Amino acid sequence: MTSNRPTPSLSATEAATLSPSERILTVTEEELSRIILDIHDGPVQYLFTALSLLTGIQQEVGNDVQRPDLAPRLAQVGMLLESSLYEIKFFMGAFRPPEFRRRSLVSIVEGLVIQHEEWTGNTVELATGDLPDEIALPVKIALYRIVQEALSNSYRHAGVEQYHVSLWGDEGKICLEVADKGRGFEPDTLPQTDNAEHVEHIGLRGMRDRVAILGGHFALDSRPGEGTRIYVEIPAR
Amino acid sequence: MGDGSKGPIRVVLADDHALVTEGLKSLIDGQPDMTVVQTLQNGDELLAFLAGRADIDIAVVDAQMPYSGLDALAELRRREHNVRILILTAFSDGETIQAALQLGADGFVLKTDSPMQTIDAIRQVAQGHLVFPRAARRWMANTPKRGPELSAREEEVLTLLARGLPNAEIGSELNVSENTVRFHLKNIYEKLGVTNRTEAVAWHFRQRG
Repeated sequence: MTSNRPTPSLSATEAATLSPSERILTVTEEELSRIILDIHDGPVQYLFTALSLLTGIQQEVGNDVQRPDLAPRLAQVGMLLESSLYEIKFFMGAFRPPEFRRRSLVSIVEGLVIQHEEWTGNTVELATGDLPDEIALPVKIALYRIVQEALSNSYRHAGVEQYHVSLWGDEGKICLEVADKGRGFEPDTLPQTDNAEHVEHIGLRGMRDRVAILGGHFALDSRPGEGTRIYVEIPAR
Repeated sequence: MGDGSKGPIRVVLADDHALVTEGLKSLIDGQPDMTVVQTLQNGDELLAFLAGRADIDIAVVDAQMPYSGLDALAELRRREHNVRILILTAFSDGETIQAALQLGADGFVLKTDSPMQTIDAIRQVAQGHLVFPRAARRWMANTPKRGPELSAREEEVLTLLARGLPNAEIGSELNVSENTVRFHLKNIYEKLGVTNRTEAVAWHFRQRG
């Protein structure tokens, strides 16, 4: 099946301007894009069609007094199919890269914010300032993934319904702040052996690593009861 | 227009996944109040089919097919065709939702949700309702959300501003550049609905009672 296929791999000129780590980050996004499109073109269409057919059958046999056992069994099949689609929906939403080349950083972050609000019902205050005209692809990718991770952290841990994302340019750098006024935590206590804490720590480390690869600066301020603030500066190049 | 007074809601389906159109057609045709008039495979076919026709109530259009559903939507609106358009897609990203709204779609439903949601959306759109995810409606309407809430950083900037500090000194207190201070000030002004420092400081003192 045909879909909007992702933009082809890095051009030779683009690749030459990137460091090996930056190339890996960029290529990873392209691979993700292909995987997501394969899931879109295959399982999503099959599952949606199967559910459409099943729903039709459920409506036909719903009142069949001869076979009262059918309705609950079909409902169970329907629930399993819906659960599969539900999981795919969030998987695709989280991993599908936006069209980084074509879209501006602001538009990409706006899209992320809308999706986050839609999924969580929470409110994200987004403020954007002037940004440099040229922002390197790996920088856009890094900032997108950092905002995504930071929003997800605020949603899971802050215990508040509103948080803030600010994005602005400052002397050739892109500055990003994601802040909430929620529960907060003691940053020094993060590296725990407990699994959930460990995963959380990996999320923060991933953010730091992305920033470090691009020669930027990452800061995390948090205290119990005083919310959390992530601040990132990355050269736009 | 599909309100029960003129017979069933007349629907066309456009999706390059033939399986999907078959499945949906069978579900729609099983409903007492709607019928599928035609299934199509892409945006080109949709435009050709709808040209000069006014007897179709709703087109359910896949956003991702060749000659994308969104392009077809834009073209139909440019031609001022009055068919109502329900975008069907697997992608719930902000850009697709926003594009559908801005291009004049009447609704937006997901292939990753139950097909009954598509059926319900067809009924609602036929009655003239807009069917969009809640977050998108709020975003597009640009309505203020629960009054101004400043971020912690903005509050810090405002507090220093209220102490009479110029931008450069606010910047050095907070360890940020003057540009960054100006950025925060601009956002503070927007959120508070004020136009200058004096008004912002007045707001600050009013809040503190």
